[in-house]
Amino acid sequence: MLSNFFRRPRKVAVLFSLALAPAFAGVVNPDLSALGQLRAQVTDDAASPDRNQPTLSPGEAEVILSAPLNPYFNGAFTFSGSENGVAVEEAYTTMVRGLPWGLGLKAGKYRLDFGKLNAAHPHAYPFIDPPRAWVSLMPGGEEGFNEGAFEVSALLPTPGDWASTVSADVIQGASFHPGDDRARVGWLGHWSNSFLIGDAGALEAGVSTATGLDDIDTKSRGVLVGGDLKAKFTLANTAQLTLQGEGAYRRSHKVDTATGTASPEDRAGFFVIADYRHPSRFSGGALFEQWARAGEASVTDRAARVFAGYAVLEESTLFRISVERFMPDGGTLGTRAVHTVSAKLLFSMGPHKAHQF
Amino acid sequence: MKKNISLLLSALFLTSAFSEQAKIKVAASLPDLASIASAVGGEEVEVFSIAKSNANPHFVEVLPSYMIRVAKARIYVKAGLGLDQWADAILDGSRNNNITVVDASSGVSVLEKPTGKVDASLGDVHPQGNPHYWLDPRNGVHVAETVRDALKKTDPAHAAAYEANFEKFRTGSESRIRDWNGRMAPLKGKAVITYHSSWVYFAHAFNLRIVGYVEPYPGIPPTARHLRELLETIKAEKAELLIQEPYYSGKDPEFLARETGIKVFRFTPSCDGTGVGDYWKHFDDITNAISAGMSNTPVKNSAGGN
Repeated sequence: MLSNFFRRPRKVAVLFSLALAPAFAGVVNPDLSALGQLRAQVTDDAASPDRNQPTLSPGEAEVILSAPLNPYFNGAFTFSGSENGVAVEEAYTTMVRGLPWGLGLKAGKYRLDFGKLNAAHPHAYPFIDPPRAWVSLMPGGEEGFNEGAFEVSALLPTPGDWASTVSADVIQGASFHPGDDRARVGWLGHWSNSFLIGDAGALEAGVSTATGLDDIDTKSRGVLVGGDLKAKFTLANTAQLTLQGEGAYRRSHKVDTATGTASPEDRAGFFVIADYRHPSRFSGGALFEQWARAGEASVTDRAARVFAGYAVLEESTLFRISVERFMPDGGTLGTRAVHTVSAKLLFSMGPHKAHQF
Repeated sequence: MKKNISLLLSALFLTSAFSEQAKIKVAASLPDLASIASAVGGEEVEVFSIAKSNANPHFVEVLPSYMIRVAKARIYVKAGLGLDQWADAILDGSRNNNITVVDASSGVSVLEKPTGKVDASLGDVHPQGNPHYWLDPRNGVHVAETVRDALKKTDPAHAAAYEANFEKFRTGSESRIRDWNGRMAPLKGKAVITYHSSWVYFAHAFNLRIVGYVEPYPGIPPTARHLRELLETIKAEKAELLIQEPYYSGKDPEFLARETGIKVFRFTPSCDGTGVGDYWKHFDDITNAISAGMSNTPVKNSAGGN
């Protein structure tokens, strides 16, 4: 029957045109970008199977689509693929106009607005890998605090150039209890402020908080509180200096499966970054971080990195290198420092470049 | 007491509402567009620019403070032609439902519209044509016309004032263009090198002949081979002046100057201010600097540093 149907091309054409006609009305292609990378690394970490051996890996590739959905909503999709498969990193819509009182809506899966760094895509980090403190403290770990969520935000009526946005999200909450097939919603709140420092640059400051169930059965609730500060200075000849710091406190719970009781663990950590960008092609900086180790909260680990970047021609092809010294403070990791040299070549096509931080 | 406080609050609210109504806030992507809007809007508008005069207009970082400024604006004047794509993020972030977005390029005769397939192998080519049109002062009048229409629509009560201000800007531009043409006349037909393809409209306006660019492709830094070829072009075409923006490295133009004696002029692509007359002053400064520099007399103004 199906083969008979397809033997009637005119009928098929009419049906297809009927089906597609509304979809083509006023629709144009979205902005489409793709990012690829090649990554090299060598580490003297005793726990690494490739200790002291240089390694090469293709890392993650990303495909990014973005466009207005209609006059009121924008949409954005980010798919990331690696040798382990393809994942939807982000898929969300934002309502950009139509609401009163400076309100905005966002819904879907996205990197949550907890501080400044978490919301940025890792390919924008000049220091290659996310800070260890953030991997340790953020729900979601290495992948970042990234969940299905619904956000309502408001642009507050502030005087002058002071921009103040407050947002509240209902979040999926699964990052608080990974490994559990069930999911219980959590909450996130963020208040961000931005000021212009004349023509010299801008200052941004914010506070964030999130909560979710660390364990559904014992109903033990985890709490995350953070603060962020970022100053960007425009120097002579369009060079830029960015100074950024974030700190977070987390109360999480570990459940003793034998007794069924949850015990809290309080940890805190921070990172600070200085990033200098010479006009358009060169950048360099340093990062220092400190945090209380998960599961051994009395142990305070530290790490320091220096990093550099070079845009081979312009932002479509970027080379980055970072040298890190990780200084564990005893406990199960001992006190032997670990050194890692990482290099990354990022290449991109389309409007979403492998942009600078 | 309660009554007094509520009266005070009402007065504050009314004062603030009145001052909001008193002037129409106009945001523009570039200082040049803002200056033209100041001229056409006159006393009825309050104008500001997002990009700074010394910034590369292709790359402007979207800051929340820009969004809050645009949130209070009634009109946004975009450069268009793909130059200020960053403006869309600012407009979206402003959540301003009442803003009228005007494309200032709409009345302009666009140069260098690519034919055939456009992709990144051609460098940072704008598919809709070269977007640096405000550097031809005749295009300033077209921009003023577009701004005038938007203001008349937004604020019909002052339509006559906008019409009169536009006429004043048009006639002022025409008389100044005659002066600038006179100043640049000795350079008519001269071969010019520019760093980026930003000076195409300027060259077109003043009959200069662009024979090469320091960038081998728009947005792509020069290679040694390209500079060698450019040396030959400068010699063959007898190019005597090179125009570059201050935000590009001076190393390669200085090398070309050493090797060939070509004179390097550094000008910002935009005017330094958003007030009435700043757009004209930019051309005054550039034409003064070039005419003085090329006649070996001391440079009076350098429009961003020579």
